[in-house]
Amino acid sequence: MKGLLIKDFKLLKNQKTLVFVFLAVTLFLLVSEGISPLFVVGYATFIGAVVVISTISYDEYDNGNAFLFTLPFRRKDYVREKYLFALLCGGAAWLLSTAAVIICSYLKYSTLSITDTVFPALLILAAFGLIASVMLPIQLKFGQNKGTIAIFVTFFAIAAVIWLTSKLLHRLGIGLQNWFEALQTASAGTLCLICLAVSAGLFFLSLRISTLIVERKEF
Amino acid sequence: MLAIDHLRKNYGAFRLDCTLSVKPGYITGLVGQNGSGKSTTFKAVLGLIRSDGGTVTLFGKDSRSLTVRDREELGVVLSDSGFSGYLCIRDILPVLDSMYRRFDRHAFVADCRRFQLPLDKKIKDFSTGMKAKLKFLVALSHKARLLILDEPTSGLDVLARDELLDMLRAYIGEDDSRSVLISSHISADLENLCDDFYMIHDGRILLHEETDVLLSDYGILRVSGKQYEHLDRQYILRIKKEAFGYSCLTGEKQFYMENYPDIVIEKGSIDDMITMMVKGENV
Repeated sequence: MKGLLIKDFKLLKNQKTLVFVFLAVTLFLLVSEGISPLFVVGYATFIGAVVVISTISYDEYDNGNAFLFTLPFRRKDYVREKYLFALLCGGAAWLLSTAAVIICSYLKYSTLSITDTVFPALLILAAFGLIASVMLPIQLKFGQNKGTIAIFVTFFAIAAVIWLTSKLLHRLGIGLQNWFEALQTASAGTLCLICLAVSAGLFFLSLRISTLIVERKEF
Repeated sequence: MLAIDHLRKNYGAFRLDCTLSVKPGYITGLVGQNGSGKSTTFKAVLGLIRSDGGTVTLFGKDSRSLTVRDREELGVVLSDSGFSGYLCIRDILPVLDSMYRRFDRHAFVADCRRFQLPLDKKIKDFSTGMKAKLKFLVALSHKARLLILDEPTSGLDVLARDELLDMLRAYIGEDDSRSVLISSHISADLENLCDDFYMIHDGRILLHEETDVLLSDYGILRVSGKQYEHLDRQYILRIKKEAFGYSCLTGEKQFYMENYPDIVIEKGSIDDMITMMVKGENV
């Protein structure tokens, strides 16, 4: 797995232009007036997810996967490495952008509000876990060309399922209102913990699904 | 070292049913036309595709139960795949270093320099020949016991081809337990390299023979229609109608040289034999 991680970091290093553009945009957003600092965290973290997806595309480039999978590692190691790489890239992007936002807020207002910065940032981290959990198996299954379409279709399908479920529950007389009220009464910290726990659970479920996908794949 | 027993794979109308073995210390050639099943066989051996039946035994184990350490003993060249084109050689050095315990970084870099492969240029910007050289050097870089080489000389000029084949001979010479399974559409390359040959066509092995036997005992008889009528055909493997009469492939050239001194008998190259085996008819 170490060799695969090195390969992905080398691929990342070769995307210097993208990284510089990303850093420049992040800095611009940080110093701009009227832009929510949390948007900066969301932007940076999402770019982290895109970077991971791009390494899957680079592996596929010019049928490279066929040779790659003759190297001495297990297929499940490849999947684990991609998820670890996602955590490292997304986590690093999240951590750095959150730290930058906190520092900027402190410099601007000389105070630090945990509720206004850290908790929303934790929710963004949970959202990153969710996005990575959906995007990684789709990219591994469908590859670069079909993957993008599949990601759009999947997110649309998820939204449709949620909407239909809520309608169905409403017709059955099971209201979601009580749940939302219960969530609203929970403290921000508890809410963050719940979201992070759900995201982590989905992340591990996604890892299992991706392992099955890659183990069945032919090159 | 490698034993393939009735390996089957179906792709639409194409049916692969391949049986072959590679002995320790042997360089075994797999020859055949494009689409004959060579690459499918290689991919099935390497676990890149699932077979529809049969067994593949590598290092005495079922190929599906190979460990990571077992896989370190394989050196692979695939005709249509290599390291990501977005990497450069300097990038792949630490990758190989961490994956193969016996990766010889110093020798690998020296070989790259000898073949004028730039260390800092992205592989996607390499010429076809440079990519072929790199794939070959990677396969030889970690002292693998079995090399599986699918069209390793494809895209190389004659001089580079000879140099790489010499390297391959030297690699086998260093340790007589090492083996190679190699395919090439340039059968002349293989004629001077391989210990034995398998000829594959339409997914089936048509012929297996030791190279020495192939070159000493096999031949092509060029006979007129009248000569053909009086020919003892018990040792004729294939016949092909020609303008002058018939071409006949035999595995007992000496028999015809002694008994039919008037007949023109050609030694025949591997290509000629493939043509006869594929296009010729059974007697």
